[in-house]
Amino acid sequence: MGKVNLIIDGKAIVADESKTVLEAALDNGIYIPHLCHHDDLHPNGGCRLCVVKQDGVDGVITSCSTKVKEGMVITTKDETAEKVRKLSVDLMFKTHPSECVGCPKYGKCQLASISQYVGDSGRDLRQQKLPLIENEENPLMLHEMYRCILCGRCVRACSELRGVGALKFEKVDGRMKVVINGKSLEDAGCQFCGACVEVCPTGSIRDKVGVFKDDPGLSREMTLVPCSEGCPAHINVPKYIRFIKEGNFPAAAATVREKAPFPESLGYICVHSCELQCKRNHLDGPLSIRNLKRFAASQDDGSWKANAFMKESTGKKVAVIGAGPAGLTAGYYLKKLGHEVTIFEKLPQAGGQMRYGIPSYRLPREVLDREIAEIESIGVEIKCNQDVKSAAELKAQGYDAVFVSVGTHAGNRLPLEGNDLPGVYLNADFLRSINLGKPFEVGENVVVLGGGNVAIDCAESALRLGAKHVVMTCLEAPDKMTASEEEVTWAKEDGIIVENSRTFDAIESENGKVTGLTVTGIEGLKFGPKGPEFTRIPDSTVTFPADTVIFAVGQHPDITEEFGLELNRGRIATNDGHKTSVEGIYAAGDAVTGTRSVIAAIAEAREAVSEIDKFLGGDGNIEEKLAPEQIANPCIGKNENLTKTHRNEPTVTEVDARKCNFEPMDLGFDCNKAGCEASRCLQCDLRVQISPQKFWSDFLAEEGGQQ
Amino acid sequence: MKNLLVVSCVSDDVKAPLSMYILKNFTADVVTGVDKYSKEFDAETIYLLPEGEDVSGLNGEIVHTSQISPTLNNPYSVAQVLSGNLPRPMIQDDYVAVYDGKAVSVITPEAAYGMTKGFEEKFVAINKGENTEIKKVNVGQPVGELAAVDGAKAVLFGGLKGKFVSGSEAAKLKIDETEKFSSITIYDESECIVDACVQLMNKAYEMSCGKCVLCREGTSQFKQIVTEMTTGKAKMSDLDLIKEVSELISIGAYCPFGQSMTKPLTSAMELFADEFEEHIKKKSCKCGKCYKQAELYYIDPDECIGCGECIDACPEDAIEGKDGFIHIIDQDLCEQCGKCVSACDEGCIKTATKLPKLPKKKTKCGKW
Repeated sequence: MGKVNLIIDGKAIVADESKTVLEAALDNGIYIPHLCHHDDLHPNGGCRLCVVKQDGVDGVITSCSTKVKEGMVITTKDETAEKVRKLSVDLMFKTHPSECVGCPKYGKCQLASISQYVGDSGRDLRQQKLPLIENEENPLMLHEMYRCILCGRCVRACSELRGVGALKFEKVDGRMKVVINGKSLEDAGCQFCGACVEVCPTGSIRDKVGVFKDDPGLSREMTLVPCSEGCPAHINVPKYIRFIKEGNFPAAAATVREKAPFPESLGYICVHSCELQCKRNHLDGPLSIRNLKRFAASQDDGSWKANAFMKESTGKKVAVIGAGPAGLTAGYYLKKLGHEVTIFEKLPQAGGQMRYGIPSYRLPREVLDREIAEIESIGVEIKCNQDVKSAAELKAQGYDAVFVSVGTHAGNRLPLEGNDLPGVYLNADFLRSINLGKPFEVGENVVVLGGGNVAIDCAESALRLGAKHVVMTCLEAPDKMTASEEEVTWAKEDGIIVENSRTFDAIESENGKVTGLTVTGIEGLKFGPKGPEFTRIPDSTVTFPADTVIFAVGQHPDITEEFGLELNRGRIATNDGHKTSVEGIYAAGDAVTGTRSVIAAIAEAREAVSEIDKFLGGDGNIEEKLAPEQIANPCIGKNENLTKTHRNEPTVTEVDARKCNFEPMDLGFDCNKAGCEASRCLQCDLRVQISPQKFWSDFLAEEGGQQ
Repeated sequence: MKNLLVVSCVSDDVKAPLSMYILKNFTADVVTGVDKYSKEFDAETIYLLPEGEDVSGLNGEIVHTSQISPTLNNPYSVAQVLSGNLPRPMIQDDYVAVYDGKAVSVITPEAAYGMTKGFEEKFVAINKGENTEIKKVNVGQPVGELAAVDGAKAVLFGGLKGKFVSGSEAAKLKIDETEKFSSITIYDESECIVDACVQLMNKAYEMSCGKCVLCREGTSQFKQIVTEMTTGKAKMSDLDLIKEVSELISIGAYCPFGQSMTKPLTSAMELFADEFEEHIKKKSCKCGKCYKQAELYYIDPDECIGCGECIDACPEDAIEGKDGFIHIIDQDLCEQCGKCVSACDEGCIKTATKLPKLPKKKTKCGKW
C-alpha cells in the first residue's frame, strides 16, 4: 500500500492511500463530525456533516467518500463547511422530535451528541412532525420510525453486512422512509441479528425492553450474547453451535472444553441457564443448546489436546477435598498449571453428585468415567475412600494450598411429626444408596417432598425401584417449581403425580410404620427472610397414603466446625477470591453456595484455581484456545422460514421401557437433528463484530486531539 | 469484471422529456452511438425504459422501471434501480457500481445520439402552458429564433435545476451544449410566478431521491414555505431564509440535482421580488391563482359518532376528540390533505368555503 502526504488543519499527515480523508483525520486525532458514516459500512455521504474544504476545489468535499491524495490541503473547520453542517443538523431536527429527555436512547443518541458538537443556527425552518407511528409487532425489535433521520445505516447494514435486505427505502405519501421489505420482518427474511439496532444512531430501531439485560456492569459481548452470559462458565455457545452447523463436531466439543472439563456430562445433565437466556425464547422457543453440546461432545476426537496448555512443574503441592465437579475441575486446572494435585474423596469413586446424586438414567456412568479418566490421565491423583476430617490439619501435612469442594451430601430433614420413622429417607442418602449399589427399600406408595430436580430424581428412582404409586408434593405452584419443565413433563408421563401448592403437616404412622403424609393446600406463596410465607386454604387438608416418604427439600455440606473452617449457616464461609477463614485454603462449589449446579461448580472452581495459582506464585491464567479459529460469516442471507423451524426435541425412550430401569432414557440428537437445531441459532455474536458506535467525545478523549 | 452499459431513458428532467423522444425518433442513430461506446470497453447493453414504453430495433436487453429520477445518470443509482431498489446516487472517487457482477456505466440517448451525429445539434423541449414541443436545434442559435420568448413574463431555462430569466433577456441567449438549454419553459403574464415556484418545488420534492439531508429536507422545507406564501402563512423573513439556505444547499448538497434544485426559486425571487412581496405582505395574487377561497374541511356534528378513525388518519394531529364525543378539526393545523375523509366510515367529514356552526366545547355525540 502506498502512502500519501497531506495536510489537515495545518497538520502534516502521512496516510495509507486506501484511506478516506475522514479516516485519515480521525486516525490523527482530528475530529470531523459524521453521522451516516459507520466504520463497517460503505461510505454513504448523505448526512453532509463530514463536509470539509479542500484547497483548490470549489465548495466543499465529502470527506467520508473522498480518498486521500498526495498534496491535499484540507480545512475541517472551514466557515462554509461548518455552516453546511449546522444547516444539516437544523434540517434533521425539523422532522426528528426535539424532546430528547423522553427518548429511550437519551444519553446514547449520536444525533443528539452531534448536534451538541455542531450546534444549530436557530433558523425559522418549519417543523415537519412525522406521524407518531410505532411498530411493536416484532417480539425482539421495536420500530419507532418517527425518530428516523434516514441516515440509511440500518438499510445498508441489513444488505451490505448481512445480505438480508429486510429493510428498504420507500416513499410513503411522498416522504422518504425506511420500511420493512415485506409484510413483517419475518416475511422479509429477517434473521433477527440486530445489526440494524446496533448501527441506528437514534432511538428509531431498538431492542425491545427485556431482550437484553440492561446491566452497565456487563461487557458489550456478554450483554449481546445472552446465552454465553447466562452460562456460569461463559462457554462460547454461538461459536460451538456454529461449528456444529458446519459439521465440525470435534471443534464444537473443544470450544465447550475451553471453559469446562466435562463437555459430555454437561451435555446430559446441565441445567442449561443458556437456554433460559436464548433470544429465541422471545420468538418460538429457545435452542436446545444442551442437546447440541451433548451431540458435539459425543463426537470429540481429542484433537483439542494438541492445543491444551500444560505448564512445567512448579514443585507446589495442592490438596483437593472432594472429587465432585468442582474438585475435579480444580484438580485438572491446578495440574495443568504445574502444581502437584491430590484429590481426597470420601466415597468409593470420584464424581460427587454426578455419580452419587444424579441417577444413571440421566447420566450414563461410562460417560462420567471417561471424563474423569481424562482428568486422571494428565497426572491428577485421586484417592478414594479418604474421609478428611479437617481441612486445616490436611494442609499442615505439607500442602502449599488446599481446595475444599465437599459439596452438599447431607439432606435436609423438615421438623415434621414422624420425620425420623423407618421408611422416611433423605434425598442425598436415598440417591447415594442406589448409586452405591445398595438401594434403600421402597414401598408401594412413595411420597416425595420437594419440587426441584432432586425431588424428581428421587421420585423417578423410587418408581424404578418398584414403587407402584409415586406422589411428589411441594409448596410451589406448577409454574414456580424449580425442577426443569422437561423433567416435570417426563415425570408426569411416567405416572408420577405432582401435587403443587401444599404445605406438609405431618407424616402419619401406625405402629411405627409410615402410613401417609398429611398436607394442606396453600396460596399466596412468598419467600421472605424467615422462609416461606403463605396462607393455608381451609378444608383442604388431605393425606396421601405412603409407606415410604422421601425428603427432597435441600441439602447441606456434611461437615461441622471440626473441619477447621469458619461456617456460615452450615456452609463454608468464603470471601472474595474463594478464600476461607484459613490462609491457603480455598473453597467453592455447593459446599459454599448451597446446592446449585454442575456448571456453577465448574465455573467457581475455575475462578478459585486462578486465585490459588496466584497464591502459589503463578499468574492465575487458565484460559486456553482449544478450538480452531472460527470465521463467523456475517453475511447470513435471507431466511423467510426462520420462525417456522421449531425447536427439535430429543429422542426419548417410551414410558414403559424407561420407568422400570436405570438405563439412559433421553437419547439426545442424531447428526441430522443436531445440524437442524444448530441452524436455528440467531447468531447473536455476529452483532458483537459490528464496531460500536462512537461519539465525538470518544474520539477526542482517545486521540488526545484538539479541544 | 465484465462491463455493463445502461442506456438510461429515465433521468429526464420533468420539463425536458427528451430521452424517449430521441430514442423513438432517432433509434438508429442512438443504437449506433451506443454500439460505438459499448465496443470501446466491451460492455453488454441494457436499455432502461419507463414502464409501458417499448422501442424496437434496440441492440440490447430492455428493462422497464417505474422509477424516474434525475440521479439515474449515475451508475450506482442505476444499479440500485436494476436491483429493485430506489434510485440513490453514489459520488465517490474510483467507485465502481456493480449490478449482476458487472461494472455499470451509464449513457443517455442524448449522449449516444451525439456520439453518432456530433454535438453541433441538440434537442430542446419548449414548454408553454400544457404543451411541450421538442425541437432539433443548432448550437449557437439564439433562443429568440426558436420560440416567442420576447414578450413572455419569464422563461425558465433547464427545468427543476434551471433558472428564471426575463423574456427579453431570454431572446438574446444562445443555445449551447449544456443541460440548461435542454428545456425552455415560457411563462406569460397571466401566470403567477409564486404559484409556478410552488409547482416546481412540489416536483423537486417528489424527484429528490432522499439520500442527502439537504436536498430531501430542503425540498420539503421550500415546498412548504413557498406554499405558505400562497396561503398567507409565510413571513417576509422567509425570503432571506430561503436565500441563505439555498446558498448553503447549492454548496453542500450531495449531487448536482440537490445543488441546483434551489435555483428556479431563488432566481424567481430575484426577478420577481415585488410579486413575492405582494403575496406575503398583501396576501394577494395579481394573477388570481393563489389565495383562492380554500375549501375547508369540517366534521358534521350531527353525524359524527366519535369513533376516532379520523384522528388516527390525520398526519397533522389536527383533529381533536375523545371516544363518543364529537370530533373537531383545528383549522389552524389542517392542511386540507383529505385523508380524514377517506378514513371516516360515516361520511361525515365535509368541505365548505365557509364553516357552519360547530361545537366549541366537548359535546357528546348525538347531543348537538
